[in-house]
Amino acid sequence: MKILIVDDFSTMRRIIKNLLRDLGYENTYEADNGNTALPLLKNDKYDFLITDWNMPGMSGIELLKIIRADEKLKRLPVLMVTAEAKRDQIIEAAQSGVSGYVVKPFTGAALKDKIDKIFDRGN
Amino acid sequence: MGFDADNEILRDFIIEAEEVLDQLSGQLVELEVQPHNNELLNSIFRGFHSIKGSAGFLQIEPLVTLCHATENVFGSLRNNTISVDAHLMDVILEAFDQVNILFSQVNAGMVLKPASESLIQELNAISEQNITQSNTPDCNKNTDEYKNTEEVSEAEFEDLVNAFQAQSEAQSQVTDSLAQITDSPAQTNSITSPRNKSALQDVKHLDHQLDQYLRVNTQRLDEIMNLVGELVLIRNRCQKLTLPLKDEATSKSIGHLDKVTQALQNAVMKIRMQPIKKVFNRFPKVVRDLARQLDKSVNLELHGEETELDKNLVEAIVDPLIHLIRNAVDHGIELPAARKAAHKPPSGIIRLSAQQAGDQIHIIIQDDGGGMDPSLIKSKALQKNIITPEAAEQLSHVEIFNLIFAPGFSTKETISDISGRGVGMDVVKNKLTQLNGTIEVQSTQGQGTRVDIKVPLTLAIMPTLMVRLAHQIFALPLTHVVEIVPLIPANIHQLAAKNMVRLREKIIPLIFLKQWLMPKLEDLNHSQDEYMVIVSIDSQLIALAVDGLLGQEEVLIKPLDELLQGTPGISGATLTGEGQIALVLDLAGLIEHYYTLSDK
Repeated sequence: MKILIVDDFSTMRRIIKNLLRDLGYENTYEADNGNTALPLLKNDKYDFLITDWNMPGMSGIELLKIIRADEKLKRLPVLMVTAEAKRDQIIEAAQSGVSGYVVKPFTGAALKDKIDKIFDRGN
Repeated sequence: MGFDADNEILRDFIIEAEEVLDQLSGQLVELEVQPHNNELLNSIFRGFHSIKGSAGFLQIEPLVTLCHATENVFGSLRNNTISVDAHLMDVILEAFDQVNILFSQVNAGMVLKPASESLIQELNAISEQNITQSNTPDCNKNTDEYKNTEEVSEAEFEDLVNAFQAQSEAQSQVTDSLAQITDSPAQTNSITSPRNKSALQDVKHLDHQLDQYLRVNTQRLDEIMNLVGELVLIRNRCQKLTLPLKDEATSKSIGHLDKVTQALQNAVMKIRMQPIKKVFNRFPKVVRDLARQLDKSVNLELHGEETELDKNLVEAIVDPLIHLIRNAVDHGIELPAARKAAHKPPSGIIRLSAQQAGDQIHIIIQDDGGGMDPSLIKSKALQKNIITPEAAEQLSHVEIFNLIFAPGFSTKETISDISGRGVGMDVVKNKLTQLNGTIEVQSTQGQGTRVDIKVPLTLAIMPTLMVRLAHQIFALPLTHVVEIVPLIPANIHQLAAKNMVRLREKIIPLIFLKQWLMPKLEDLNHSQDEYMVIVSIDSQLIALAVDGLLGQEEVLIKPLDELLQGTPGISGATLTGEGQIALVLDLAGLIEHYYTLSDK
């Protein structure tokens, strides 16, 4: 499965990349903001997007909305990574089409759980 | 995660967090000037938020707790439930200081000492405040905020996700049906094409913005820089070897080699260049803290932050610059009362500027403070036996001011904790000289002081003047060379047992380098000396007598072997185009060592 990790903090990207690798997902790529992520998503076939929510420039939810409005990308499963489980933020994300969310810091097991739930839903 | 991975992540975190902290430093000071700038508040919020996020994974609990409490204050600020006041700034800056302390503890691998409970409570108290109290709208806001801390249940979340999916399914079915109904190609095109067109434009626009960045270990860059330097030496050698050949094909190739080597040199240098902003960013806080401590009012103006210089240089000049700036606040800018009496604006101004001038970076620190009193400096220097009374008579104002760089000099009776301590100006000067840079001071009593610093753009490759002393070749840093004139014995005079020479209207010290560098030479026949190289050290002109001139060469300086390191007056060695070894002279060190030695 080809996964794109988006976060403006490279330490964070590395942490997620390592967790995914431990779970057996080796085919991972990185982008540091929504603007650089979009061309990647549009030009190559990605199966899964993991994105931070709070980023300068284009926020996670803005990226999500653009993806859901795009013919090619609207079915792409998106996992939101956030430091807080703020109610209205999560509701807005769900209403905008996010596939799942995970709260930092999380373990590999928690991540696996979230990924399974997304893909079991038949995405 | 494996052990190695953990270490890498910690290292990454330390590097990135440091950048964020640097940025926050400047932003927090900016906040006082622009307390309502939402973009600024967002940026600061994100700074603490990012550090908190990664710190959580690394299980650095104290940092998580502190950053969380601090970020909440900024969350409230950008929601306008609270606003910036002196108390808030104090608590925030205290919190930021604590974050920095925790961070340095992490960096040093020490056990962490969590921030005090009272600080956390203060932060929480501030973020939970509300500027307008007990009105109905706010009661609602409070309950809204309270509701926000409730969890979203799994079931609720699943419902929302399913609802979205159902909706989008329905939508695509509608679009599909429409497409089927309006079957003619022209019409389907017209339905979809405006969207496609703008999407295409978006992608093209974004493509242009696509900047790829790569994190590179600076050690690898240093290695590459070293190799490029070696290449430069080999190119020099090739040029010398092929010059007499006069073969067109060969000289063409060598010319090409020259061009490419130059381009490679420039390209590698550029990789290591960083905007000086990185260093300048922390100064506003330094000035603010110090001014507060001394009850002075000082503004720091920054200019030319985008000027770029070699990464190693950036790191090397931080300490000297901090010292000079603290000096300006401590000794330069007067207390408000004194400024008022002198009809000056109550806030002192320190102007820090950087610009590129040829192959050097020119940094200027200018303050509008009280300036320096030349007679005071002169008397101190005499008192500390830094100069003799006769020498003191001859000094120009500029030369007097530059006495402050002499070791052991300090005009304050009790060395203040702030910037004195004897470590001061001479250390600054040494550091800059090590970098092949120069520093000069000028001052007008009552008006202010100006410090001029020049450092070369790059440390590795240096333009030199190759000279010959008897059979040996030495390289002089070209930056210090002012001119070269023939040595005319008739112009040499003796003054207090020292050799002096007339250079147009001036009389300047004359040094026979052979005497210093090759004292064991059998035949110290001075009539061999043909030329004088006039150099400028600390704004003083000095003539160096040499036997022969070999020309200018750009060289890579290689450090001397361990056994020879520390030899006074020698900063390293290099290979000439002829393939011979040339010792590279450290002029300031040379003069300091030998000139004073000959006094005794």
